[in-house]
Amino acid sequence: MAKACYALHLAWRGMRRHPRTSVMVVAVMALGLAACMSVLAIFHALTADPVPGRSGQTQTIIFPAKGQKLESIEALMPVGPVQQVVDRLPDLPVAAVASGTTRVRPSSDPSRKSESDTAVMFATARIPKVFGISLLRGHWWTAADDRNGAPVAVIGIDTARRLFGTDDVLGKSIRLDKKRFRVIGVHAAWRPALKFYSQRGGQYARDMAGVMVPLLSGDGVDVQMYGMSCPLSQLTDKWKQCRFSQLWSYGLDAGQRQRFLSVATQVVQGFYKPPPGVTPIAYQSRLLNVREWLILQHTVPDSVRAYVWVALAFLALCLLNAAGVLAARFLRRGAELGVRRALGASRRDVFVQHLIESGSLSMVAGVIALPLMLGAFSLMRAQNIPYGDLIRFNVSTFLALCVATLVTGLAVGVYPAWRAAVVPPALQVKQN
Amino acid sequence: MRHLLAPLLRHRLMPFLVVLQVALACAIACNALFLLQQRLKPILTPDGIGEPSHLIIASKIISRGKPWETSRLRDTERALRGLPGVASVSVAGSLPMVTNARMNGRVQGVGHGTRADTAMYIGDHLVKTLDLKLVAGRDFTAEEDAVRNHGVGMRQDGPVILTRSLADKLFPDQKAVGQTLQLGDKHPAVRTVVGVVAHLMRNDFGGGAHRNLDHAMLFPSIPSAWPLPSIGIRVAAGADPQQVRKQAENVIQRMLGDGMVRGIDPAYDMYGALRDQALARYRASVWLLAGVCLVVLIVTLAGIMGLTAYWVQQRTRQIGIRRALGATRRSILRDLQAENFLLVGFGSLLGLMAAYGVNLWLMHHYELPRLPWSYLPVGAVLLLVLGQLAVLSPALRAARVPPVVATRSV
Repeated sequence: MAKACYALHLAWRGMRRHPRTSVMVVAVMALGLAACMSVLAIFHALTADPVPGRSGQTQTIIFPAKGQKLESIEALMPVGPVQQVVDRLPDLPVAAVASGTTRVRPSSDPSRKSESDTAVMFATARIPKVFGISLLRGHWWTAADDRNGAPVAVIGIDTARRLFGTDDVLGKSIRLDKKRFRVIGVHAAWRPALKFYSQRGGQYARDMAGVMVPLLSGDGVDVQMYGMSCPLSQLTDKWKQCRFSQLWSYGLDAGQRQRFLSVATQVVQGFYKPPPGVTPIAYQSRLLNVREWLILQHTVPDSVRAYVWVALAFLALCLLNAAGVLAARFLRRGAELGVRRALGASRRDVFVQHLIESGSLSMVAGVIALPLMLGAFSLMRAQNIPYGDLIRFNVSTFLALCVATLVTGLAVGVYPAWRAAVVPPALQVKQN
Repeated sequence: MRHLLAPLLRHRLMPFLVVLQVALACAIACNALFLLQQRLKPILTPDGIGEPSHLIIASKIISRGKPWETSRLRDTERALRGLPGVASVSVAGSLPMVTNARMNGRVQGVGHGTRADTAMYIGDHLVKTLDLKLVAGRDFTAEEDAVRNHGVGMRQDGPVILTRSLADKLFPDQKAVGQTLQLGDKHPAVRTVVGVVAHLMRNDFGGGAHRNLDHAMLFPSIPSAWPLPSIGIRVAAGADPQQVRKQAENVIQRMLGDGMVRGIDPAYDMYGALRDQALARYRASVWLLAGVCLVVLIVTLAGIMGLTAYWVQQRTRQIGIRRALGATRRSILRDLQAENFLLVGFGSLLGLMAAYGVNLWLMHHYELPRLPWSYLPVGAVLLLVLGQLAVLSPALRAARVPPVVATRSV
């Protein structure tokens, strides 16, 4: 204990003896840490697995024509064929999904202003199995409701509390745009790290579906969508023609996958039957898991990858710089270290003393890096970048910063401290 | 040469650290400068718009359910033209700096092999409203502007006006006016070039390094069957743009308000403000990357300085001995500078290879543009100059070491 205190004391004296290099080492390390950790935090948020443990098993189907380049829009189909695919595979965990935003309010309270831009998911009955959404109250809708387009809704618990102020909302009604839906169930909060089932920048949105209704019941509701084949962002009149729904499946074995692929392809081929005399399009359907689907959509922008490596190189530069400065500083003390060694300090003592000195410098750097990082985050959020909403400072970012500080402190200090520790005792006393 | 290399090989730590730092700094600087240049491109490209303070752009005029009827847009245009202080009005499919609606395509000169990727601005009176500078040929005639487009107007024959850079690309070494170009492969639309304007910027700024942002072309008449038109209003020289903007807003709201999508309000911006808004992201990343470059260079400068100072101090006695044996101050200074040159040069070389390697890897796996060769010498020269700056003060101190040091303590 006393030894540790002594080492700390020596480290403190060492820092005070070279204020300029101390400030420089701290500043350089703080900059390196802040820059690198900010970029890595963004990269981490963008590459997060949205459905941990399930993403390999969760698959979507995409319908490119033969020889055509894979484009994410080819996964979208009109509601008619996707409903048909779901109906023809009643025993498989397969569901059709379309997501968008619309105005929502409790229908009992006409005076209340609608919440605009509430995320709504239009889906078929097996959606809880496919996406792993658990139910808290009531029940999900059935396949029959799907076929009739019954105006029923299962809403998230947060949405229930926000709209009605209670979780006991079964039997109450809400209005999506102008259409009335009866609430038959409440589902648990479901927050994948990325809105992977959305399209074209929609996957960065933070608001997960708060309201779920049968796919066909969306007819007549005015919805804003991110991904759609029509150039209009409005759906009221285009519900049947535009392509905006996507098929998802979960945990299919090889045989079931084959069946899913062939049924879906057959239905789509039948739907886009050309006039007689024209060769029909040959579809080469494929299943993509969540990871492949996110890559196809360029969820991690290529520029972010370039930034990641620039940031890593920058951190390495800063560490090298700090290590060099510290090595110079420690080795300058050669003579006095020789004296200490001659007076009986062991190699270990000298090593630990210097490691503590460099460690405390990196600790200070870590503390300074924290506000720098927060500043960088708020700066980035202020820019109008598509994934700005994902940039958050949370506990894991903080822990990562702590670990990075520790590791860099060691990386920077070990070699110079070792060089200082191997100074031979007597020889140095002779010099000067 | 031997007296330069020998100490480098004997005490390996300091030179090694300098070389590594320089290599990293060089690799970072090359790539950051390259990213910076790409972000700078939309800011530096001339947009071709004359008198930006007297141009109003109305955008996000989105129709509900079905596209706008052409007659309705023409009526609105007529009403706007009637306002006091309005010099010219254009209804267009899209306009420069309007980023929510874009029309792009690949064109090819008929009888020429070169293809070019270009923006298409379809609208009437655009040359006048945007105040573009015609450098060859003529503007569209009133008859051409009155033609009824089938659909948006992309797949239709007719006249076209190009920017100079697009004309040079499609018809090198030839007069563009009078030539024809085609759009699409199977049943191409053929258009005859009637005029060339100096500049006009496209409104999608993304894409690779090779993309020319000054590639744009104009088609006459207003697009039919188009749900999100933009309206450009040129304010007459003496009039107050803000007042005209307010009146134009009222007119557009009155004429088209009942057909608009609910929840999205049209935007009425002065062109300058719209430009600032559209380029804000690029400006921000330019500052960011410039900051990164600056910090990297400062850190490297400080690093080289600190290491060299220590190394010089370590060799004080040797320098003293050399001075005692007859070396001049100047030769000590020169030796240290040469030594720094060697180290930094070697480091830069490593850095350049690393920069190129990483760029190749990124390019292979992702859609990143290739790092042009020209960036490599720029990075190396930058670091060599930086290294010389950093070594100056320690080297001068070394040169001042008196020969008598050699005789002290043995």
